[in-house]
Amino acid sequence: MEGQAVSVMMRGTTKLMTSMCPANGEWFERFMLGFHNRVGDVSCLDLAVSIKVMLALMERFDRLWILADGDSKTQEEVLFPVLFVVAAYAGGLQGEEVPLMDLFPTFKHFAEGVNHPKHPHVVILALRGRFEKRNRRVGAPETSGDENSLGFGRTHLVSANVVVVRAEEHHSRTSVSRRTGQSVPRRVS
Amino acid sequence: MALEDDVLPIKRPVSLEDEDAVIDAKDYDRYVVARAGDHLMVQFQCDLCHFRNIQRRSPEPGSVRDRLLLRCIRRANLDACWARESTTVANNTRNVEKLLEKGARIGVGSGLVMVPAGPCPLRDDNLMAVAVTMMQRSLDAGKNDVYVQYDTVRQL
Repeated sequence: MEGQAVSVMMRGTTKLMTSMCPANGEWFERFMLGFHNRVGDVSCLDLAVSIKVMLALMERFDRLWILADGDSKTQEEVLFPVLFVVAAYAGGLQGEEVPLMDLFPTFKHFAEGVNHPKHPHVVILALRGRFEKRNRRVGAPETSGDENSLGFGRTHLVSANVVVVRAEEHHSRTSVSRRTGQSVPRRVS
Repeated sequence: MALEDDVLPIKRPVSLEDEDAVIDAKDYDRYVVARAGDHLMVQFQCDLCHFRNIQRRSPEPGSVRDRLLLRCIRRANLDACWARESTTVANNTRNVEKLLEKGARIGVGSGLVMVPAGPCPLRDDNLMAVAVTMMQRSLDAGKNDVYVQYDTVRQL
């Protein structure tokens, strides 16, 4: 068997072995190195977008907007990624959560968020569906933590000034109290 | 030795502003052509020799499979050459030239200074067969990029 010919131990930490395997040969080593150099590495770091990166992005979008020069089609092409990036950044959303945004409930609850008695100027983003590891399953027993801490039916504090509300759940299980202005859990039959 | 219409991916350093713009014009030749002196840095056999080492026959004219294998062999050969940067190869070539020049001054021929590398046996000692198989694996679709990445390919 290859690699089992002679071995040398150095102070029990480094082990050197002789091998006749061509994969350890000079040419194959060079090939692997050259191959790696040619194809490179694409690293997708799981890092948050910093404010510097965001500002640089906005600068680029500004340039593209100026270049669009009133052309509605080009403006539309610029606006969509801008909306996507801004919503994702401001809402602290993951990429796949951005298309879950529901603009109508967001608009509907905009004033409610701004005039919130406990956390004023909070932006409410309504999302459709359930997103992973953030919301409890519908009907599951309530737990302490972020949920309900802001007076909403099922909410999650994503960042300092943004509250994400699940659109369907919010409509079905909460209502806004006329007396206090807060969202309170609604009885669901 | 050049491989211009290569289907295998080549990553070149590009400008941050324009991803289609290669920073240095010399980079267009990267991994596409070999350089003078590459044969002094890496053991080299031509495509045909490697083909015969693997298949024990000559390539059949008109055979698509044989043509593909020859292209992969050339790609692997170029990759092995480009394991070293152009400056390193150029420096080594200059040193060898000086060696031969000094030897000639005292009557020592190049055949005595430089040991002949061949003839090579009719065997795939360099594991070219595995190298070309890895080439094909590297064309599979990847998750984060168009093609699978190096770390996936090397698991073969």
